[in-house]
Amino acid sequence: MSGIALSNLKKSYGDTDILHGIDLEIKNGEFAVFVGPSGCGKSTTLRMIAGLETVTSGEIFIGDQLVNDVQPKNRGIAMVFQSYALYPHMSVYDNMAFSLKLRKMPPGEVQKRVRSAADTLELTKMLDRKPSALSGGQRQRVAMGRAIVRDPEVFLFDEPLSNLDATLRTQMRAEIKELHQRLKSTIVYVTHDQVEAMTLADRIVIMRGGKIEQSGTPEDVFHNPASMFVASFMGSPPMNLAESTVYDNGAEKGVNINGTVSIISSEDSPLSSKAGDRVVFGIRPEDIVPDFESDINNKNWTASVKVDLIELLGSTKLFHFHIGTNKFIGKAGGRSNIEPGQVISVVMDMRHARYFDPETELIIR
Amino acid sequence: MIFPILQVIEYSFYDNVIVTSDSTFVGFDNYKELAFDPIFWTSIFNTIIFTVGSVVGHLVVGIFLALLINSPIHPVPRAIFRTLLVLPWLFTAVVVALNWQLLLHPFGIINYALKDFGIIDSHVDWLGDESVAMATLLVISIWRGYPFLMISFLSGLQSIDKSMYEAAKIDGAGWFRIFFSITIPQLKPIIYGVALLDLIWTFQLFPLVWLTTGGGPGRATEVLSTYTYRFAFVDFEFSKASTVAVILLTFTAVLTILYLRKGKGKSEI
Amino acid sequence: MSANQVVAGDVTSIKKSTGRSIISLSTRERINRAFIYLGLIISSAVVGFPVYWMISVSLRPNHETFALPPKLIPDNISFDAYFKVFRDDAFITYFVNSYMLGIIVTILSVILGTLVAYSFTRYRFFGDGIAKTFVITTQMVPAITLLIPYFGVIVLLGLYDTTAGLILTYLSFSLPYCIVMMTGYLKTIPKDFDEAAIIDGCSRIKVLYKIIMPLALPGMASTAIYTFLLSWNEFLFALALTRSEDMRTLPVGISMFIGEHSLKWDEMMALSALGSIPVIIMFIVLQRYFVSGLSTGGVKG
Ligand SMILES: Nc1ncnc2c1ncn2[C@@H]1O[C@H](COP(=O)(O)OP(=O)(O)O)[C@@H](O)[C@H]1O
Ligand SMILES: [Mg+2]
Repeated sequence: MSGIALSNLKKSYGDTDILHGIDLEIKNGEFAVFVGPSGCGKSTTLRMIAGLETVTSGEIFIGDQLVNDVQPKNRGIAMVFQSYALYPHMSVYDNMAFSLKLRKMPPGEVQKRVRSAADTLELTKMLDRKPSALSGGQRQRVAMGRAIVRDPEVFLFDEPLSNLDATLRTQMRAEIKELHQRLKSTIVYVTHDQVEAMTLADRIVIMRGGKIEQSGTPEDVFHNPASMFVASFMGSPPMNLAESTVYDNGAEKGVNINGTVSIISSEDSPLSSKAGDRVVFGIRPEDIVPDFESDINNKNWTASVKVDLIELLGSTKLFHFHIGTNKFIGKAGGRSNIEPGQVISVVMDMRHARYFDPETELIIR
Repeated sequence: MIFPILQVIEYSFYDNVIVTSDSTFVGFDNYKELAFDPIFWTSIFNTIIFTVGSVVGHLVVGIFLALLINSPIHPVPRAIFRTLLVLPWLFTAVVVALNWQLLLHPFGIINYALKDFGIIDSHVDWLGDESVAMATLLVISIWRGYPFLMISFLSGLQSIDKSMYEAAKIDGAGWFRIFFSITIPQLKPIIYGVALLDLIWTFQLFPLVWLTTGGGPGRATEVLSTYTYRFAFVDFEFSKASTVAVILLTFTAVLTILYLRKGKGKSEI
Repeated sequence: MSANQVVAGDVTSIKKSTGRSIISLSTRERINRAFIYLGLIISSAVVGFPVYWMISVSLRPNHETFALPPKLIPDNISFDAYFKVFRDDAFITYFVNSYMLGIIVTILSVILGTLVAYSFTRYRFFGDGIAKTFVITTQMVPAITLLIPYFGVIVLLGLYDTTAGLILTYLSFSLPYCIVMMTGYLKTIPKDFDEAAIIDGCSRIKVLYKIIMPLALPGMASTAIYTFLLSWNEFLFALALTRSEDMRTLPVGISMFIGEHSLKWDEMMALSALGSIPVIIMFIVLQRYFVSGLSTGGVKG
């Protein structure tokens, strides 16, 4: 088992710079998830770790070994592709055995490994079938099986679940998580789905435009986003963001949204900016609740708003409202009696409010 | 491919190429000589008749049969008829020529049948009589060449969105209306592309003409390609042959440019 | 049969299968259909007659060829003509030459074509465009125009009247064609397979023969058959670039036959039929590919 270290890793295609210097350390046994919008360079990074793309500059270490010039097959990695890339002309068994045979492993050992992987993945009955005779979920499992049999130091996954329907995706997500807990190998997993990232990761690496925007535990990136981008990328619905002005009348300090609503900041999330500064005020939907459902008594944090729209998600209800031109979403219990058009009093839990610099879009500490 | 083309153009400005090693540059002499050669003009005229006649025939027969095959009939007879109707295209030119020589033989079955029906009085030497040779050649060429267009039109017809026909029917259009307002316009790019391609190929067609009539009788069916061949491999006048070849090439190039311009986006090439 | 056709299996057959059957077809529709079938039958008869006659004549003694009145069905069917053809060394030579030329040209150009096409699709190359232009020119430039300089070069190289000369000539046409066709096929095979195989431990060459070639097999097969037919049917170059009887391909052989044995119609027709069989079989097997291949200009008249 081994960890991975990327140091000032850069990639360009001709004149186009795709990765602008990635520094990252993934610990041995860690489940690291790269997440970010499409085209931000996640796959490129992963493929460079795999050895499928050349390194323009910088260094890649797997374990203690500098692997920049090591062939993919000698990097101790296995990869699961988005398309699965199962060889259509080979049976499930042969697909899984292919890499082992290429390594000239004794046939007995090959068979043992493939059987055991097939057992784990419940593929034993399908070993003689061709990939075309399998369902999407089964193909996915074969793709994982092909990786598992090699017993690699590092697993690389590139959006492995994006071709599955929603139910299957949830199920396979759990299986991958389980697999990791059992094998305890290092995993680098690429997805554009933040829910997948949150549920799977020991460590989330959020990328944007060829750079790492933030890297940390799921809790960390969710509750303490380093930037407006992270705040709006993670969470569904994302964090509410609104331009506001800082005010300070000596007794109390807070933000004024759109000249209409002033909310006093909390000691737990102190506001360091000066009065008159423009800041972007951010608060998660779960921290905006109807007054009648809230156990917070701080009347400074309440506002009276008109509900524009209700979205019932089952256990919760999202309610949309606006303050001036800024749209907000709050979360109420699934059984709350709120109607569109109704004026309700909402509480914003300012202990969890975050403030961002409108210029740099970074968090203000 | 550029090299041989340049080479043949170069040949056309020299005398005695290939056969002797001391060929001399003669400028446009070969071209001038050709311009005063009545056979050259005959062969241009014949080529145009042959090409236009063949292509029009291919188009008419091809569209007609494609429509017949594409009409709502059971898929099994459809497949059988389609295969039958493609047959002529599968024979190599030599076989076609031989086959028709047998059919058109003065004592052959066609003469017999036509006489029996009272269409002709006495046996006609279809390929040996100057007055009918070109017409006969055209029939053979049409028979041989229409399947290519038929198959292309058929695949075009099958790619027309069926819902368009349904919409037109609901709008109350009759068969005639549907044919001219939907089928033909939808098929137009294919018709255009395939017709040009056919034009290009028929214009330069050699084996069929050479093997059925050899350009004769006399020069009645001499086309540019047979004329070139005759110069080169009968008279060993490679310079003159090159000159005719270059003229043939020029015609084809014009057609090809047309084809590439208009055919873009619709077909692969 | 293509999916299209199954769909076009159409109104009538759907009605049949739902049991409301022919009764629901209006009389008018039935008359229409009768006319369609009539049209198809007449056209097929007219178009197919020469073919029928070829076979029919090949199966009767030569003296019955022009019997009066002509017999549509020969009195005695005899395979004598076929036996004679098979016993004639010259004919055997033509067949052997045509098959040998076709097979050599096909194998060489499909294998080379696949290799080149693979590098076109997997590494970015400018050559793709060149091969395409090449194919277009060979399709459009009159064969007779190319023949003259080819003749010059072949004579210069001392390859006149040799198999090597013909192979070289045919390769110059078929190789670009194979490259373009195979590039098209290989493009449809996702690069993921290559990459998965590389991670699994394959070298580039192994990727090609263990993964790509098996997947490209249908494409290679139809390209091969096209190439074979191209060579099998070729007449002009085979005629002009050879001289001796030993070098003649089937089409050239048959064409010489016209002059040399012009009275033996039964044998000539038998030879024609035999020469056409490979093409017809290949066409029937590959109908589907033929139509799509048309657009890439596979079969020139
Ligand atoms: N072979 C290539 N040539 C040029 N640009 C490429 C190539 N591969 C990827 N790119 C570009 O690199 C960027 C990052 O791609 P990728 O890593 O695949 O993004 P994603 O985060 O969606 O996986 C994209 O803008 C893409 O257009
Ligand atoms: Mg990607």
